[in-house]
Amino acid sequence: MSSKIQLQINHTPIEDYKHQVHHHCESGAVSNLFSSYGLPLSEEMVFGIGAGLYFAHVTFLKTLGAPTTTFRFFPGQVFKMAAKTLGVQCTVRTYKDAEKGMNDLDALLAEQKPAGLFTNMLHLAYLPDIFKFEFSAHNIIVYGKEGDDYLISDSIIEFPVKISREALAKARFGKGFLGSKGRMYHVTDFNPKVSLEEAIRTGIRKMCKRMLRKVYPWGGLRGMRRLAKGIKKYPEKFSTEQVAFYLTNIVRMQEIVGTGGSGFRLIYARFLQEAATRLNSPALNELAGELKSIAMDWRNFALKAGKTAKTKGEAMTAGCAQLSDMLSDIADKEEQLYLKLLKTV
Amino acid sequence: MKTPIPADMLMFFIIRMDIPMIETMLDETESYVGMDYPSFIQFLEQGFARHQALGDSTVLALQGKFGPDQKAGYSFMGNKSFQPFELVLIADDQKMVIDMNTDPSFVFDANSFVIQK
Repeated sequence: MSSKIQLQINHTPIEDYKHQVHHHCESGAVSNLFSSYGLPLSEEMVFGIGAGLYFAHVTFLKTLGAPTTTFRFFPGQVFKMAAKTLGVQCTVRTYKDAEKGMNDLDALLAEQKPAGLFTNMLHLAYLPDIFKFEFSAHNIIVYGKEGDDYLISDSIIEFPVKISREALAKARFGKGFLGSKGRMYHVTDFNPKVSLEEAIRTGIRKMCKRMLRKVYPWGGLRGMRRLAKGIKKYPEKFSTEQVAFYLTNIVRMQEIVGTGGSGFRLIYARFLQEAATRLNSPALNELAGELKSIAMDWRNFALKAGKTAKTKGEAMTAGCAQLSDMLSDIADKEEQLYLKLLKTV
Repeated sequence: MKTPIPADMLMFFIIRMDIPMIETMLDETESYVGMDYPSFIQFLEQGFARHQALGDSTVLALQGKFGPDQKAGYSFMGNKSFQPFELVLIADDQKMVIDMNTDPSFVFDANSFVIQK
């Protein structure tokens, strides 16, 4: 049975804004933003409806000096897909002129509307220096202003913070990889026209098809299998230091960069669990269990990669071969899971 | 410790109180904070257990200063209990942890960004 979404509206979105801590900045920001409009969706639900789960290993694009490995779809797409699927109307703007971008933000706040911003983590003054790095697609929500300071809800940190206009402008318009151009998004009409149940099904279908699609050699399951083959050859192609660096970077992207562990697989498994309750589907609940088990395989992969990165010579060669087998096995299991998910929804 | 460790990774795994991942970052043949590897892991396990008993789900990593020279470093406190976890990490410009200690003189920098309720 499906029913139209019922909004729980008490005050204006800004008055109702609550800072909640999450794992992933984009899903977390959207969860907090939509909740302030009376649609309390968990981070997991946003990530799932937004079809966020993905895998790509792109050797021609470097992140922190190593081939880019990502476990989620492009930045901004979770928000876009979740809003579209739920029928929430949003406006996304980018700016050439920083002053105009800041004035537009002020205008939104004056209308009592919280705004989502893409920012460069390198220039976010409130982050500890060690966590500042070049990434221009870090999502935050601005939910108010006190004098010239902006009230910021960054869902990956424990408390809401306050930063100056100058500091916020620098974070929005600082140049960098993926160049955010002051990207700002906000809700223009919050009256979801679809049922949550249908949105869940749409999100699952989209994610599965994307993972199974064989168009791009670096993306989805094809990308995973390609990396599996590649890791086996690392010791013959690269120096010991390079192999260690590449493996460490895979662990970093899998376990650290807002993934909630196991490359977003744990977050998605919790989404499937929530979806199973919502859709009253024991089959979906079972598949959530399967994905949790796959998430454990990913974790074991990270542990093995971390240990292999500390070895040399034959031990490193053997470690890379094992990692290759582990990854192939994970790809096979994920393929079966996505096929079953497609049949279930 | 002799081998530098990527600071973002080590700190993140400490924040998450994730012993198995911390183990992958450390060298079993080295000593840390004057302890051999097994003793240091035990020190971390006991510290994390104390924080979990206090209701902390993570520890927060914050900048601060320590010692007579007011050297910069990072230390930790529980996300709910706000009790300190006495481990100080010192990182270089390359964002590598090059030293650790348990200096009791460590003081967290006042965080002017946090909104006071």
